[in-house]
Amino acid sequence: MKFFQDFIPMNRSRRSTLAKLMVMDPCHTNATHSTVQALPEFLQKGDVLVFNNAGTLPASFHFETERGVVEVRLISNRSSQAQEPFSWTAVAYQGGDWRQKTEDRQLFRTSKPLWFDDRDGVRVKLSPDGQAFHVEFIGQKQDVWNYLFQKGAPIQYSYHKEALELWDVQTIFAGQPLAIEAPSAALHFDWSLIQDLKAKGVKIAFVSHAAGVSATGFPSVDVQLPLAEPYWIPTGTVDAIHRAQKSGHRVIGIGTSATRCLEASAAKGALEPGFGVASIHLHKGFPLKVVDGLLSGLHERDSSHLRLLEAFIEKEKLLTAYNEAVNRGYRHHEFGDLELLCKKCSSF
Amino acid sequence: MRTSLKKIVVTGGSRGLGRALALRFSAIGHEVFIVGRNEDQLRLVQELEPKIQYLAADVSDKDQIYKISGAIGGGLGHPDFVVQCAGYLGMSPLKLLVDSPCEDFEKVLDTNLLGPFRLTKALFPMMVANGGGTFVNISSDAAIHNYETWGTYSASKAAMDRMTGIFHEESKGFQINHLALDPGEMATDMYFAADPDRDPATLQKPEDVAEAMVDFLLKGNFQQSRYSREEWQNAIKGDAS
Repeated sequence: MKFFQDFIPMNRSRRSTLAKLMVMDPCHTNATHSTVQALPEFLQKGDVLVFNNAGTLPASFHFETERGVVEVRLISNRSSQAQEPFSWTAVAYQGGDWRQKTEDRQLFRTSKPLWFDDRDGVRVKLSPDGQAFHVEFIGQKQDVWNYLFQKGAPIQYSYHKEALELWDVQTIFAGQPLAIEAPSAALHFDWSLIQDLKAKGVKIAFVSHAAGVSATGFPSVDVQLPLAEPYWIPTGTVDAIHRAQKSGHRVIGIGTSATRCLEASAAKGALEPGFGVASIHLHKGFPLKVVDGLLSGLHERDSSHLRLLEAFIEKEKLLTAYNEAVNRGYRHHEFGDLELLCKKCSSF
Repeated sequence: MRTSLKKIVVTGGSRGLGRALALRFSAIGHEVFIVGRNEDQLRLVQELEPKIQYLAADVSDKDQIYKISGAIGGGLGHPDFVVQCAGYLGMSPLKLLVDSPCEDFEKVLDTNLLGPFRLTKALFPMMVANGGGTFVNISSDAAIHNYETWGTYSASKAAMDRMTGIFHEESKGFQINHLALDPGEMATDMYFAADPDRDPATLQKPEDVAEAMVDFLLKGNFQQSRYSREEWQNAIKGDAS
């Protein structure tokens, strides 16, 4: 298999409906290549797109320690309800900065809890927890939210030319700040495309899923990812999905986090509205009950993301398509190009 | 009048009309989050209505917009109303437009036009997720009349009115209203900066305007995007008759 050109320096402005889109389904031997702007052509009236409307948190914090500056990156919210900002799982890096690949950075370790800051009524406690840390923000709820947004920065990617600002990592649907990394499959959407989709009769629905990080660079931590993540499914979304299912239309998860929470809910018996915590891992042969298709970014061959895609399409077909995508100059990772993988045939 | 509990964001919430609106909304039981630049003044508002949450931040600063929207999303949740009162008159005493420094005009536009534009963009998705909501931008008679020496402020409010109208048209499919409301002349610090010699007795009190405006907003029967003072105040009377 060919590889994507690794770590092509990317401009953070690379968010556009002109991003490439690769479409695959069981009725077409080869992938079809198009653009995100043309997505309505691959959908039918009555199909439902489910977006994760989580806003993205500033999840990277820098603290002074006796051993220099330490970067603490939140990786998952520990609360059962994602609106609580007090308790997180995190990793910590010692030295270096975001321009280095995370796998090249040094893990910070300490045997005793550390306390930081006493600013604006908020104290931070960092306690060792296996390979990772338990981070507690201690204070009044509003003070903690204000603190997170004043003190934190968005998680950065080493393949970018310049640091991302908070607005770079918000999708057009970014609502309450629940996600640690952006629900990146939606980054290329704009409201004009949403109008085109609605004009076609495609239904837009939402879940709110506290997506954690996709990788930390530490194999012992990464093997456990994604950790359990809280979510909220509105009644209207469940109704829209049921209507699509009854009328034989497709439900497309926009990104893996939207998909994960729908399938996590259904895995408990039946898709239901309300709060939940997703702990399932999608993989080859996973019995998908809700989602017929997934819109997602492209990732490396050995990534956990690629294993996830095998829930939708057989590996050989996927790798063949990926080879072609590399030849066609597709970019991978967040802010890269997209693929639509469907288990049910498309109408085009 | 009984209304369900609403979540309200007020920018410019530490002084003038913004402060009065925040206190009124809170006094009748709604959940209020205020944004302003001066933390001491914000704290004084909270002392009067302890349930009010606040954030000290500057809506004219691009870098702070998503910090503001994030703190609102986390602390308050999806707002039902976003009332944008933060405003800057321009340097005082007022100057002829031709004498106005470019840098001061930029500051006026950052506060009165681009600030509301950015915050609307940032909070719009939360309103969509909530199934609807209303943005209220405080306008002025100066947006539609040519008053000498009010040039930069007038231009910013005229542009804000048009921006509000276009947002309103484009948001119709999402049950989101964008209103430009002219409150009329009020006895506020901003007014006296523009016209120091005006007799306060001839001006409306911000508390009175706020009480009426809160009634108007909670009734929610909006027929247009821009309302003059007479139009929105008549709309309340019309409903009552």
